[in-house]
Amino acid sequence: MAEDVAPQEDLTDEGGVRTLHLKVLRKQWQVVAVQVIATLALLWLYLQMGDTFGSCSPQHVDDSGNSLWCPALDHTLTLQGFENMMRGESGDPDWQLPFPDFLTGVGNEGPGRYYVPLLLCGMVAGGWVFLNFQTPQRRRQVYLGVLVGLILFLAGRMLLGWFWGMLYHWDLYWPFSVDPARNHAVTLVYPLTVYSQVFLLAIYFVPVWTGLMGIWGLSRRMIGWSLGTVLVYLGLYALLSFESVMVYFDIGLAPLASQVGTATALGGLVSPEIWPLLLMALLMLIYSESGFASIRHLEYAFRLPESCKKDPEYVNQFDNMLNGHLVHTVGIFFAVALCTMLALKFDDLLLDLVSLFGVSQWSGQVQESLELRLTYGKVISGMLFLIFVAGLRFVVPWQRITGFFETYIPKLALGRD
Amino acid sequence: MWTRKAALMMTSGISLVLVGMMMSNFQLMVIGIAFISFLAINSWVTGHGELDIVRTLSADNLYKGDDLYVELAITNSARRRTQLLEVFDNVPHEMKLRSGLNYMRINLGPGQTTRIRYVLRCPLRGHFSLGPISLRYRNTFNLYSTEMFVDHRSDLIVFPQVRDVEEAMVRSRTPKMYTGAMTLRTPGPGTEFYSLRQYVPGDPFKSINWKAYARTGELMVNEKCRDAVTDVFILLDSRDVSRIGTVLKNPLEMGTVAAASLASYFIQRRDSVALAVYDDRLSFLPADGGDKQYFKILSSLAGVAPKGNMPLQAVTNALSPRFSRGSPVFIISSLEGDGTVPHAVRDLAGRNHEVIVLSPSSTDYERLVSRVPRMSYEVMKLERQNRLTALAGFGARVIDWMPDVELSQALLQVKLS
Repeated sequence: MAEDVAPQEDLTDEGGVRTLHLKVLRKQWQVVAVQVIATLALLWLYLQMGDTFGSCSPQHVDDSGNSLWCPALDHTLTLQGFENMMRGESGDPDWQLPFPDFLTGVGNEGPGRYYVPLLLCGMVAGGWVFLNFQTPQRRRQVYLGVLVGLILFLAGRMLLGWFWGMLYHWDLYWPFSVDPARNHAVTLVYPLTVYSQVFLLAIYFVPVWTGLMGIWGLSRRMIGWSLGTVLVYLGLYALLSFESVMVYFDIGLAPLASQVGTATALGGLVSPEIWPLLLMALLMLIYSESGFASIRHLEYAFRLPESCKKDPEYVNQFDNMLNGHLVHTVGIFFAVALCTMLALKFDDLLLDLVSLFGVSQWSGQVQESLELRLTYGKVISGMLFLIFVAGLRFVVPWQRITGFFETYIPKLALGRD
Repeated sequence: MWTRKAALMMTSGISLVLVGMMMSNFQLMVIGIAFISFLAINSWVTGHGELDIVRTLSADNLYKGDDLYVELAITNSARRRTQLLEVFDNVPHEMKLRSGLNYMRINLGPGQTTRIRYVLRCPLRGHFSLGPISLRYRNTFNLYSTEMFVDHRSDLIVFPQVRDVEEAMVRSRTPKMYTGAMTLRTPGPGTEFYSLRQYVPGDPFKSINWKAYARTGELMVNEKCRDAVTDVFILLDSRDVSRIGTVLKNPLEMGTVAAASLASYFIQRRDSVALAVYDDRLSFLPADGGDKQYFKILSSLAGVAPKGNMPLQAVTNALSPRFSRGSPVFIISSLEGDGTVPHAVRDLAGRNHEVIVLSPSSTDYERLVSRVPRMSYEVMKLERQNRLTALAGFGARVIDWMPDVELSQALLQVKLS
């Protein structure tokens, strides 16, 4: 691309002409829409996960009937456990963690536990993204300032008290001692509990803050971390709540239903046990596809040489791509949801079909078989349905149908004018 | 074709379904089925390459180092969207993109058109072809891709550069050395003064010498030398040995520039120019004048490539019946690896031809690409000097052309025997 490919400048609209510079594209409604879709999917996914995996088994109680800690997706359980531990250590029954409960969601029930921490995650991610827009020098200054602030918050009070104590006592001594007047290390407890509380919150909300940073900071690595932690958590949860594992190692996780009830949700399309699980799977797909797509499109625009960024043809085609992406996001994910629901209900259709054959030994056996209603039958019939759906591409020329509308509807509209 | 992402998704989907079935975990199964459903639905959407593509070039022929403006008009001739399509115009690797880009991602609706414009620099002479156009359809979510070609090609000839040699020739020791008057000292239509004679009826008034009339009292007219057309023969050495040096600077490249420049100069002066290129065989373009001949010579020079090892004497022997009597012969050769050169030059000079040897110094071109020890260089240089002196002794005008010397400058260094 010769000398045409120069480091990108921060150009805005030049005399009303749209360009493909990042600063302009970041405000373009299609790009923002894709990023908002990814963000909403991520937040909804986390809330849905909290709803499904956010509580321990009701049987997981101690001898006194108090609920015990378990690795459910509920940070308040861990924070309360940490607080109880610190109370026991300090001997103060009124000892409390530094952050107030309304910030951490402790004491709330249901999704109320997550709202404020999610907001905090959003603010942290927003700050990080804002910082990324600054000059490298300013970024370095801010990072250094935050680091120094954290170190001072941790050790500043102790160091000041220690040096003052040595001056006051006119003696050299270590900062930890049985003598309360010379035990300055105790001042480390407060900052350490603050850091611990932040750390616990950060661990539980890793998928959210990394995901938000990835979406708005255009980082594939961060989105990868976010998705990876979600999948790892789901895998661990499945393993730790597996019946054969729980016989030997029960840590109180509530297992998911192993059988599916009658489809009553969404007008009889899906059973209430499946719906939240399906919703999570779809939200995960929407989040990953939209998050990565915004990066992919912006990366393409970024790599274009300067002359192409100002070329109206490139700008128009970029708009077309984004519009196409939005249409596909809505259309395809709606179809995927419908198709998956039908796939999971396909066993019922098979049973109904068998019943049409009338009364025979074979049909009777199949109808009475519980196998189809259980896991294996449901999944195998679901897979059969998906193979059928994949084969439909050779039968239904729906692209030609949409193309027909795209070709002739504008002509009809023009004809009326 | 499935992308790596699709293959990974399918593998993950099946694995999750199987693991979910083993562990009776509906969450994993549903995620797996959703993945497969996502693939099945996406397989419905396919792009196409039914495009009308027209490539327009700013010129079909141009000189080495010139810029070529290319425009690619792409129209979706089908009645459905192209979906996300990558268009890449294949450009010869010898050409460099100067501005714009030969690549665009498009999403054209039915009947829509877009244009790709870019500028190429052509640093090497030759016969080139732009195209075919590579198309790659990518699914919106990057799951499937299909590669296609549109076999649309545009041929292009890049001529060698033509340098201005007129001044050099005028300033040489034999002004206007070949244009007719050299051998035909007869009166006729021309530009140079020949003699005065008495006016006879029918002479044009503009040729009357009024000063002579005033002096002698008789009408006198100026007679001019007849500008007869001379045949100029250019013999270009294109043997394998002439590739010594860099891609842009080697005896053959310099030789083509010299041949093109000389041809341009003599054809502009209404002389006839013949070109013989010898490599592993002899290509001969008979002497002719005019723009057509000029185009033929440039086209022939554009396609010259180093190969073979034909001796010069074989060339002169083969062409001897075609050489016009007394016509000037230019030999453009590095004179390396050919022991027949002195004999060939002696034969030509003996047949009363004006022989000019323009010899790019291959010893110095070799130094551009490899380190030659000083002693070896001096020895090679001395051998070359002896060779050139011997040729001068046979009656040729010899020009030792160094790499960093302009052609017009080099032509001033004619050694007279």
